[in-house]
This record gives sequence, structure tokens and C-alpha cells, in this order.
Amino acid sequence: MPGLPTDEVGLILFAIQSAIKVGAAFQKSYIDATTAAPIMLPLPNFPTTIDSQTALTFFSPGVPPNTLPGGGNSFVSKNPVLAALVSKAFASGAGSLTDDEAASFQAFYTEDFIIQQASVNNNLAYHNGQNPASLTSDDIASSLTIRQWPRNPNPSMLQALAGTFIDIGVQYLATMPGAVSPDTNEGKALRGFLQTASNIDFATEGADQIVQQLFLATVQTIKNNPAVIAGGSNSQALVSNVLSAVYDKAQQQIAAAGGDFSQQDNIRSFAQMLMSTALSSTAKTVFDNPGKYLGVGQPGQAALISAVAGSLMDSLTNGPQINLRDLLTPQTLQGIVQSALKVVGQHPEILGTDNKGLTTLVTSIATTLADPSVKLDQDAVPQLIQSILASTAENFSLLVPDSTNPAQNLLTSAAKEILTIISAPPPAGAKWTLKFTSQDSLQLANFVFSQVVGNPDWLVDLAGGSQSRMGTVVQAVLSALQTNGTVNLTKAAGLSILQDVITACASRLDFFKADPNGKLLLNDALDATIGVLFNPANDPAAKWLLLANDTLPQVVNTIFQLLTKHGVTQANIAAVTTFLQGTLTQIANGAAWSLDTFASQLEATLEPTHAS
Amino acid sequence: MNQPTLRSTARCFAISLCVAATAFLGGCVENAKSIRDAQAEFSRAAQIEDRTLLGAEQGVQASTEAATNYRMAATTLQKLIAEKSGDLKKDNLLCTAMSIEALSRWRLGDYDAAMQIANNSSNCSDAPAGSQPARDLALFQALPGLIRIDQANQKLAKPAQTIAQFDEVMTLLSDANTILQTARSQIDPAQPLQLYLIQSQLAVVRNWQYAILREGLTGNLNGCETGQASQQAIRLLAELACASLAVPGQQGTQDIKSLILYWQFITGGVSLANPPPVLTSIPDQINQENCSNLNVKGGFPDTCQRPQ
Repeated sequence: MPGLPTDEVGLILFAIQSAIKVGAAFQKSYIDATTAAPIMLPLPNFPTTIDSQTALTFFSPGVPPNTLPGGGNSFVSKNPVLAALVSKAFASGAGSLTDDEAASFQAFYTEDFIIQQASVNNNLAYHNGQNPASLTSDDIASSLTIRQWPRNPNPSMLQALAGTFIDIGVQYLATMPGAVSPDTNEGKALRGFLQTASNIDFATEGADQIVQQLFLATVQTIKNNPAVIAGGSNSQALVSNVLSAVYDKAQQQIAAAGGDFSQQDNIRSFAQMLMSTALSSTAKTVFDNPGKYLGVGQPGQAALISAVAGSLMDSLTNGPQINLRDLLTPQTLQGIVQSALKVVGQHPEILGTDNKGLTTLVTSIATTLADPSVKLDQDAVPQLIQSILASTAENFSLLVPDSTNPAQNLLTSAAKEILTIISAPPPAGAKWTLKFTSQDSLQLANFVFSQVVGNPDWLVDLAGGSQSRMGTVVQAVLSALQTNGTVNLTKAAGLSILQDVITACASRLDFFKADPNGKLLLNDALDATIGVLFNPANDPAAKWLLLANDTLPQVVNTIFQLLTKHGVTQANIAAVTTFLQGTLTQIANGAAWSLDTFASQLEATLEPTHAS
Repeated sequence: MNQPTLRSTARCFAISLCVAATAFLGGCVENAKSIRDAQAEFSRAAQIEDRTLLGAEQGVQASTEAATNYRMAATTLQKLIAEKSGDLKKDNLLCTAMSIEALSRWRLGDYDAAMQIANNSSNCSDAPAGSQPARDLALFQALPGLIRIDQANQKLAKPAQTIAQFDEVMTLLSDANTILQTARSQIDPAQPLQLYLIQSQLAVVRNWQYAILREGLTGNLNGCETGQASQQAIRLLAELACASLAVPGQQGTQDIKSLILYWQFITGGVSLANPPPVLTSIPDQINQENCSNLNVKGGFPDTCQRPQ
């Protein structure tokens, strides 16, 4: 049997064969459409303007007996002139009226017709000599453009062509070694697809297009990823479960998209990518534990892989404020799929009774990160979703206090607070104004996530404030750097200082105590270090040495570590200030300096205080 | 899975497919395309005529322009049918081609040629029931009626003002009405052609009224003919309203209200003292209940007594 045509020559030959099929389908559809095409029909000839006979019909007295009187007969007795005209037209024929009489008679008719119609709320305008109920071009086209059939018995051109494309897909498949044999792994995997596809109602508009794209995705994935077919009959179940979930959601979303063809196309493309990714990136996990992920062996058990695929199809394509679908790459989607599968595998309770839990969680993360206050580069959103899902999988009960409400995920709250702070524009007059990139944000967010997992109380709000402890530290360090720093300070150094201070604060709750002036000791400590080190009056030699981007973070880290070791007190902070100022003076005077000596001397300074 | 591989393979395949398909399709739909062109010419001509006729536009040169388009459609299709009637029949296109040519001949005044095509149309389709071209077949049946209306209208251009000539005109109009009614009875109530055929029957009424005027009927015959024509107009207006209920896309539309008011005005109005319920408030009263109980007396046959 020939191999799958992967080379261009093979593809071109295959395309020619396919074109013949497409051409035949197109020809038939084009001919059917020609037969069915609506045409406008011309009316036969008739007098299109009213005349005196029209007026006589309206005012007709209903003579001889058993003759229908005119609809406007009641107007005649109210106007002697009209009565005389009716009488003459009846007795001698409407054609016997003089031109003036005819004009007057027709004017009576038009006026009284309008009055009569007004009595039934049909308000017509009087235009001398014209039909007050004149038709527009649209009215005419609507009533005289005639289709061949009330409902076309032939399939639409789109339906006919889509069917042919599927047929071509089948031919494509037939060239794949082993694919058509039910005994090979390839055959088993594709059997899963075809069995599920056989339950799809192809009469549903657009169903064939989605299935066609999902089919091609499946064939290509099976071909390029041997792991997908390594599960034998489990491969069949995997393909079937993923197809079922992705197809159902895609069809629902396409229906909701109405006639927006561009949106429909985007949904189909994403479904294709998700189908491919969900098969290739989950195969090993699923096959290692098929009972859990495929629901096999326990009748009635939900297939978790279906729940994951369906949830991601829902949440990633229906983001309320950002279009995640356009931000995802195969790599980031793969990360999300794997993380989501992990969360659901370890904590199936997240799905809830309605299987919406994962959708809720992912949607809430996306919604939170899309908040305008966050100002996060949207390319970073998928990676943050992946990070939050991965951490949630490992620390579910810690991060999701209420499993029935997965939207309340601590990391989502933390991410929003921290990213809002670091993305806010620097205040007026700030000396350090560097902006954080997406990668900086991701790095910091992941660091914060690790701290929150280590101690969820980081997210407890400070008394009297609107920020959590974590938010307070980030805000304080950033403010200290913006107020005191210089343009020479790099982002890497700034981020390093921020992380070191957070680490120090994680060891000592005392940093959040207030001094007698109501100011947090954390801020006093930052003044004692960053405030003193960046003092513009410092000697250039001291600045040169201590503000170097390699040295500064180490100095700050040493000070904060020693404070955590010996106590975060006003006295120790004051000692730091004094010690640091002395160090600056010594350096200005040419004294030698090293970090180790600095650390041991500062520790010696702080020890007595600590002892007291 | 390797996404770039999928994309590049799909792109290569799509390009090859498009190129091959374009080359393959070049010569296979020529007949259908010729018919589409003729359909477009015909519809353009009909649009010009209808707009002029129904007063949406004042068409000074309309008649000439419409005739040109009808002639192009008729000539194209005559040649196509002469050369490829077998192929057209196989593709279920022959009836469509013949109907457009016949209708074009009718509008050009070549009634004999139009009738000859209609008379030859009995075997124009071998398609199974349900796929037979319903509109085209019904038009072949209606065509003699449409021609009679135009013939009656032509006679009225030169009135003799005699009851004999009035009766000649009425024979044409009565036959036309019967033919159109028969055509209507043989097509689906939801077939949009119903709307066209009813309006053609209203054109019969309007020519009837014109005949009363032009042939100078007087006294009781005048009153009787006027009353019967009015009766027929009211029946047709009610049927037009109910046909719109069945035809997809027309139910309760403002277009139908405009259309009914238009025909009401040029046929002399409807008595609001005792109208058919379906015409009391348009389009609100156009409903299934009023239409299923539609029992409105028509004006045919013409039973008015001629003076001795």
C-alpha cells in the first residue's frame, strides 16, 4: 500500500485527484443552484393608474339588486357633487364624464379612500394623481422575485462541497499504512473517531466542516505522535472522548456565533488545534491511568479527559475580555492542557456536579488577568494560566478553600494584586522608572505563587489597609526604589531586591508592625537601607562601590537577613542606619570594603541589641 | 503533534487543490452559466417593467431597455436549447431554459413562439418528484393565461364601445382567470409563485374594470359588472393575504400590507362595513384561523344579464 503523501509531488498528485471530485461536486451544485435560482417575473399588462371606473367601483350604489355596493358608498350621500358624479357615471358610463368631472371624481375617490384607510389606522399620504399606497422597489422585488421551490430540495453548495471534502479526507486516510485495519493501533485510534462521528447529526448546519477539520487533525496527530496510538483500545477511547467534547463545544459556539463567518472559522481552527494538542500532550498521562481519565473499568464514571477538553474549549474561546484563542500557541496550549489534566486528575472534585468547575476556574483567571488595572501584556496570560493551574494541582485544598467555588483561587487574587502594583505607572518625580516586561511579570508572579503556597497568610489584608501583606511589601519596595533609585539601577537588580525583601518578610511578621508614628517597620527598614544607600549626598567612591548592580542587592539582602535574625525592632533599624552611614564615610575615606566584613561587622553591631 | 507540519502540509495541499480545481472547472459549467446570464437579463427586464408598471419609477425608456434585455435572454436560450437540449435535460436545466425563453417571447409580444415553447415543454424534465422544477412547469401552464391578459389589454386600446367587443374581452379575461386559477391549484400553497399568479389575476380584474369603462357600459349592466369585478378583487385580495401566510419569508411582513393596499387602491377599494376578516387589519389579521375559514364569493363567472 502506498505511503501517506508527505512530499510535495505526492500531495500535488493527490490534490489533482481530489480536484476532480471537488469539480464534480461543484458542477452539480452549480447546476442545482441555477435551477433553483430566483427570478423576477413581469406582470401582464394592466391599467396601472386609477380612472373614473375605479372611482365608480368605490362609490357604487349596489344596483341592480344583489349587487355588491362599493366600499365607499357611504360617502356619496354626504356630498351632492359626488352624488351627481356617481349618478352620471352609473347611468351613462364612467367614460361619459367630462375631463373635469373625471378629475374631480377621481380626487373624491383618492381622498375618501385615504379617509377610509385612516379609520383602520392605515395612514396614507395624498399625492395628487398618484397611488397613496405606492410600492417601493423592495416591495415589488419581494412579491415578484420567485424561487423555483418553497424549500430547495437539493443540498446547498456548501453542504455538497463539505461532504466531498470529507470524502477526500477518507481517501487521504486510505493511504495511511495500517489505518484501515481494525487490528492495528492506528486503526483502533481512528475507529474511536469514526464511531463517535457516526453519532453526529450531519444535517446540523456546519457539522461536516467541523468534523472534517477534526478528522484531519486526528490523522496528522496519529501519524506524527506514536504515543497517541500506544494505548491500543485506550487510544480508541482517548480519540473518542476528546472528539466528543471538542465537537460538542465547537458546534455550540458556532451556533452562538450566528452568521459571523470569521468567528466560525476561528472556532473551527481552535477546535482543530485543541483536538491535536489534547491527543498528543495527554496520551502518556491518560494511558498510565486509563481508569481515572477515560472512565473505563468503572461504568458511569466521567471521562476526565472529556471534561478537560470541553472545559478548555469553553473557557479559552469564550474569554469575556480578551481573546485567549488568538494568544495561544501550540506550546502554551499544551502547557495548559497538561496542567488542567493534572488538576482534574488529582482533584476531580473541582469539576463539581455540573462539570463546570474547571471552566469556571480558567475563565475566572482569564477574566481577572484581563482586568484593565492589571495592564499585563496579553501574551503572558496563557503562561500565567498554566502556572496557576500547575500550582493549584499541587496545592488544591490550600489554594481553593471552597472546592465548590473554584473561581476563588488564592493565586488568582495574588496575581491580580501584584501585577496591578508593578504595572502601575511610576508616580510623578520618580527617579527609577523602568517598566517590567511580561517575562519580568511572569518571574515575579511565579515567585509570589511559591511564597503564597508556603504561607497563604501572605494574602491576609493588613489591618486598616486595602492591600494584603504581599501587596504591601511589593508596593513598599517598589516605592522605595522609585523614590530613591537612579537610572543606573537595572530591572534585574530591582527584582532581586524585591524578592529578597519578600523572603525576609516571610520570616518575620514584625516587619508589619507599626512604629510610634504609625509607620510600618518595613518602611523604616527600607529607609534605613535603600534611603541611606541612594542618598545623593553620598561620596562618589561609596556610590561607585555599593550601588553597583551586582553589589546593591547583596547589601540589601544582607541587611534584611540580619534583621530577621536579630529582630526587626526600631533600635536595630536605627543601628543599621548608623552602621551604614559609618560604612559610607569609611569608604569615602579610602578604607577597604568587602561584603563578608560588612556582614560580620553589622551582625556584631546588632547582636547586643538582640541580646537585650 | 507537530503543528507546523500540519499547517505546511495543509497549505501545500490547499494550494495544489485550488490550482487543480480551477483548471478542472474551467469547461464544465458553461451551459448553466449561459442560463444564469439569461436569467439575469430576464430578471433585469422584468424589474424595469414591474417598477414602471407598479409606479415605483417613471420609466420613459423602460420599454425599450426591457425589450432589449428580453431579446438577449431569448436569443441566448434559443441557441442553447437548439444545440444542447439533451445535456440540459440531463442536468435538469431544460425546463428552466425553456421557461425563460417562453416568458421572454411573451413579453416581446411574440405570443405564437411563446405558446409553441410552452406546448413543447411537457417532457422537459426527467427529474424525480420533488426535484421537478415546480416554478417553471407552473409557468408553462400559466403562460396562455398571461398571454390572454395582454391580448385583452391590447383590444381595449381600440375600443368599439359595443357589448359584443366587451364580451370578446371578457372571454379572454375569463379564460385567463381560469387558466391562472388552475395553475395555482396545481402548485404547493407555499410556492412563492402563488403571489405572482394572484397578482396576475388582479391584473385580470383591473382589465375587466377598464373594459367596463372603455366599452361604455351603462345602467344596470354597468352596475352589475362593476359589482362583480369588485367582488372578484376582494376575493383575490383575501387570497393574496392568505398566500403570504403560507409562503416562507412573507408572513406578516410590511411588504404584504403595502402590496394589498396598492391593489386595493387601483381596483376600487374594499368595503370595510363587511370585509373578509383577513382584510380587516393587515397584517395582524392575516392568520391561520381567518385563512382556513376564507369563504369569499368571487366575480367569475360573469352572470350579468346583457340587455335584450
